[in-house]
Amino acid sequence: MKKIFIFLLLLLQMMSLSGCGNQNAKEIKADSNTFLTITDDAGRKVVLKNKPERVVSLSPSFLGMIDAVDGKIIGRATSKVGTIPESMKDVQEVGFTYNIDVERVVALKPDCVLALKGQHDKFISLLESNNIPVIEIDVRTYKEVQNALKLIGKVYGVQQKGEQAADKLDYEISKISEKIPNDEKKIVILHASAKNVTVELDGTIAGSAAKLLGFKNVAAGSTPLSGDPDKTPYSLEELVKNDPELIFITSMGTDAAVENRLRSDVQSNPAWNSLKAVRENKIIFLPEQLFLINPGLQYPKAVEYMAKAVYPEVFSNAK
Amino acid sequence: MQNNENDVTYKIEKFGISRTAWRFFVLALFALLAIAGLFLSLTKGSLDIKVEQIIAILQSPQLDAQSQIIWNIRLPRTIVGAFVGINLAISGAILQAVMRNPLADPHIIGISSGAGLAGVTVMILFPHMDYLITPIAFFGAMAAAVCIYILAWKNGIKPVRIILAGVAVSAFLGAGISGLMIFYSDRVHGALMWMVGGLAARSWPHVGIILPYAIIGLILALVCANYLNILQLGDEMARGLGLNVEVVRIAMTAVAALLAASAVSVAGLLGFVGLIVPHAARLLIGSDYRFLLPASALLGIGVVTLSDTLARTMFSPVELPVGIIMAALGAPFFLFLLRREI
Amino acid sequence: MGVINANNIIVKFADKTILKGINLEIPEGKVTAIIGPNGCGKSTTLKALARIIPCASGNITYDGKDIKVFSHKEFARHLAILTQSPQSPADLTVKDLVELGRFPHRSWWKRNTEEDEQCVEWALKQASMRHMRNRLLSTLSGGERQRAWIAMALAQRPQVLLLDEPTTYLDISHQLEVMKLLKKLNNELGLTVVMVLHDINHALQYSDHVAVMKKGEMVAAGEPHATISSELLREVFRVKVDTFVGSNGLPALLPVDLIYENK
Repeated sequence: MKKIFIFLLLLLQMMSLSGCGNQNAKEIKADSNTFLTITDDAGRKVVLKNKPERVVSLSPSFLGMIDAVDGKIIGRATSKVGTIPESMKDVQEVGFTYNIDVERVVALKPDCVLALKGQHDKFISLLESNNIPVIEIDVRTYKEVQNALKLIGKVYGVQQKGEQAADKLDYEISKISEKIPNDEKKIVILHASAKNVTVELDGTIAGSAAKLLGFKNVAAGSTPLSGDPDKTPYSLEELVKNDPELIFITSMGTDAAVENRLRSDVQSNPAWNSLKAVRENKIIFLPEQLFLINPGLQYPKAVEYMAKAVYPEVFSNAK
Repeated sequence: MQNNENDVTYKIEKFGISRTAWRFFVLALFALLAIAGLFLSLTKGSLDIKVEQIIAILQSPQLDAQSQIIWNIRLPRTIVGAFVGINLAISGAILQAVMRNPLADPHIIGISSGAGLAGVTVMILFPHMDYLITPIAFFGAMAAAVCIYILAWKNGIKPVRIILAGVAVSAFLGAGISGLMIFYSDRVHGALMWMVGGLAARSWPHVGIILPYAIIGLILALVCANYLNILQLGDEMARGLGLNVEVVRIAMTAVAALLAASAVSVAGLLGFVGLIVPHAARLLIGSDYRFLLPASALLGIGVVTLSDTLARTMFSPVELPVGIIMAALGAPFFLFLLRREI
Repeated sequence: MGVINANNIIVKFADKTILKGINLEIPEGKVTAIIGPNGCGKSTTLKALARIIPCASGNITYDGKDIKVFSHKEFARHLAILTQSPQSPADLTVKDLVELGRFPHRSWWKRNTEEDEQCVEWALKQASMRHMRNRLLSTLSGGERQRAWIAMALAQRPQVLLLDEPTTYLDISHQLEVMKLLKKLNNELGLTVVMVLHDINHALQYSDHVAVMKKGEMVAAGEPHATISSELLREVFRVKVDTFVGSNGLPALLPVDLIYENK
């Protein structure tokens, strides 16, 4: 009895191993004549056999970048905010980026899907089992946006254009940052309401922009709570200790009403008034369109907004 | 009927002291815990400030960071925490008597969900009306309580019906909250923190909000301790003793709703306090509400202030919302207490 | 005119009529027993008399006045009820329980007065529970626990004491204990006692007046020995009995057979 049992066990093991072996064989065969093999932002190795002609974008953040390299798409995520390039407005929609209708995506028979890292993980195995390659892209920090531009350029077979677009961003931003004084202002970026003290770290859009302008984020270097590596609840006392000169607030509404409300909310709260920046009304609001939704190509605009808000004198003189 | 049972004094076996002495001892213990909590909450933080300095600052505040922190951040936060502890603990204690169910607490009977849905609705759909969150959450809590009563009314109110109606209303409102958070998932972040319950950035305005309700609620609760004791004999015997059971039940539930709603609207949906604190107090001090209510209040202060201090300092400068700490520490503590009794 | 009079009371519960028009007169200063088969509405009648359940129609008077005009506490000062298997918190002592009986006499802002203390002592003494005043209710025997509850009812200083099946879960000696206590209270204090009983012998031996019910209606009422006849027992309880007189000189009966319906 025992012998039979051991034999069966060995047989099972061999079968599973050989299964792995076959897969490896398939991959190796593919390498020899593919269009592109890249490592995406999630560290996955993705193989594109041919140059993609039917691309679906699962995030509105990619659209500007795809347009910058003159790429075409056949499907995109629905979006209510931000600008969509003219050529892509009438493309088939596949649901909001946080609620993708994966059946529609598959029905379009794409040969490449661009997904937002972290958001669309759950669709990857499904799409791949339909032989649709998925490339995960991260576009929060400025560096990631640049890398994404280059990656997208490669995907469309126009690597040059990607690199040029990335360089153009660098140029635009340096034009802005060289105008402003290099005084390393101490800042903090708060997110949402006066009821919470949630602070943005370097990995967010506002955090990146601030870093590019040479500001010192007093919260940088703190270990975030897992779950959201870019924001973390922060001690108000610690903020008082660090005494930032300037407070940015990323808010969720976009109109002046929200801004006014939040401003007076913060200023009427004695706890917040412990911060010198609040007492001196050095509070700057960062609008939703540029700072909450991934700006992608609009990064320079975000940086410009921040720079203008902090140094209005510099920019009104320039023109 | 043996004769040698003359004048058997009630003893608590392990301790050999009279029951009343034991009860006052437990009250003193809880009071000490409360004081310790208040003390630590004031002295610990990003800057450890000594007691002498605190007293000096309280007498003549300066404009330096320390004074600012004590006056505008720690002192009001500690006070808010203490009141939230009192309110939620007493609310839970009252509900457990009125519902005659040890699982009753403001969350279960739907009060918290009402406050939660109202608050989240404002946060997500009307973020420019952020300042209205407190009164709207309060309104939501009372509306939920009224709804539950109406649903549970059928020729009077039986505790079982209230619990069932409360669970149903809670589930319904909870689905509403989840739905809002999914449809507007880009705006969820602020709402999430509020839902866990926390005291960050709570200052004097919030003290002003919770103080009147805390005082009213406390007075009413302590005065009605006897009513709650009678209710524990069951509806029929309570009626037989001359208690107007329906009116008392509605009134006491209203008091509990008031206390809970005021706490929720200031600190968010802070769970656990209303359920576990009165239980833990009951295990030590017994079910006489004349002792149980003050005991729950004191224990509530201690638990909330100590947990908040821990939450603020454990991962400094990152600050956990206090709801997380309380859940993590409280449940095992309660299990421990339970095992000892059994 | 009895101290309590129920006039044609109808009690409904969830569209079912439990009491179909009951007339009942409770004689003052006497012990009345209400008996009948299961589900006949005995407990419901008692609870209606105590005003702890409402009547759909009909009225009940106490001392000539409609019971509805009394305030809750006022009524509780005249009439005390002890329901079947009452609940209590686990850590209640006998004295705690009896103190609760003073509730109808206390204003909510007052603490325990001298009078309250004396009353509690008196009630404990009447029920012979003084030496057990600090015992936990849960540690008492069935009979002792029943006596504690009776002490609580006494602390209300009522004129009438209603009891719903006070002996049903007790063993023989404890049953007698409780019956004798009730008889003593009736004799010494002039307390009017109304009790719902299962044991017909208890009704025969300890009550002065008996009311028999069947299916929500009052079937017979009067002096126990005369009312509880073999015919009644056959009609209402469907049993055949032997009647005899016990060594204490009081009537008793022994059920010997069931009577089946004639097809």
